[in-house]
Amino acid sequence: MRKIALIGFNPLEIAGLQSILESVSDCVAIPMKGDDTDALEKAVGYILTPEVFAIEADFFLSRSNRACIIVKGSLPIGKVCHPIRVSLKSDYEDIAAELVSFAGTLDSTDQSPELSNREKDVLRQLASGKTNKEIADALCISVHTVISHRKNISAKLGVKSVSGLSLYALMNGLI
Amino acid sequence: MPIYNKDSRLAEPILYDPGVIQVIRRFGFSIGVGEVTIRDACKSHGIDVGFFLSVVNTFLNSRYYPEKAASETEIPILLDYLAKTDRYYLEVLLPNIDRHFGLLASRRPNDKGVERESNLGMLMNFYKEVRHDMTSFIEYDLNIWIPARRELSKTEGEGLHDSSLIEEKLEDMMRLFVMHLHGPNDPNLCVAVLSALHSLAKDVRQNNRIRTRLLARV
Repeated sequence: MRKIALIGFNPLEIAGLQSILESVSDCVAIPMKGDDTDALEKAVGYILTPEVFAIEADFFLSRSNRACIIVKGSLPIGKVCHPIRVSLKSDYEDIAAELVSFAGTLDSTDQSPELSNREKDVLRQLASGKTNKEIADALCISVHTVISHRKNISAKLGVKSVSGLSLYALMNGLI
Repeated sequence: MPIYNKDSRLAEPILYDPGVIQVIRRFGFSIGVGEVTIRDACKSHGIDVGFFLSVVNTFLNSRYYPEKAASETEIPILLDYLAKTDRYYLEVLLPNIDRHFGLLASRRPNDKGVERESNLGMLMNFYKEVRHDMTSFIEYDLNIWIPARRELSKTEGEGLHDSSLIEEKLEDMMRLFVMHLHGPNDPNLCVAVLSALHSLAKDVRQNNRIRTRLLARV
């Protein structure tokens, strides 16, 4: 199971982030200390506060493509690729979608093409002809999260069209 | 990737990527081009050399963007070129893939005793869907969009009719064929099918660039 380190959060924030991450991906989110580099090396990704990122910049700058910063205020205008930033002022659904997208980028960094269980669920629904809205309702997730999962699935499999994804599901016994 | 100019020999882009010969043929050239420069070849055929270079460089080089879109006098030539390309797909490339797939399916050994049965049938069904989409695209192009585009007053000719979705499906087709085909299939015929698919996908991608970069949006 892939570990994502949670660094710099209070117990309530940790519980919330763990709940979101584990409901939308196959990752397990584990609280860690920012200066415990031995433990951090074993994680595939990092979700942290801006303060931790700044203090431990030596460690996290070179790993910014595997880092996601949780910001309490609004995000500034303009897109930053790495590290990914998520604002707690966003809706729950948008936060979940961003975290799904982040977890997906970790898969491609690891070069692991295997679909997570959740991604397989989404793929099965897609292959049965459902729209994004219908998939969201069936799996009790948001449309944004469905779209994030679809992007991750296409990135992992290298297949973009719905027909192609459906054929992949058929050829690999998912439906 | 090279960019060709008027002083380049006509043979150079063909030697770089033989697939471009189909593009050059549509302007009236044929194999056996000799040492002639692009400037002299275009002059002898009455073709605007700047326009010819825009088409060839756009076809060959994904990073090449022509300085300007096709002018009013060049648009009819470009539309003729696209129509010839469509007919080439219908009359040559698609039947080529049909033939190879048919051979592959007919020469499949018995699945008994093998670890995994062939899933070739599923791939062929997907190919039929892609083929149908492509044929519909071409028919619309030849019968509606290109004629309307010649007469800019007709709304059917507005906007670009590009083949990005078909490109996507062709790429998916090749990926699924290469990575997920299993069972006892003739390996030489598999290579033949893949080569035929690759030729079509590459040509569609390269010609779609010509369509989107040279035809200004109405």
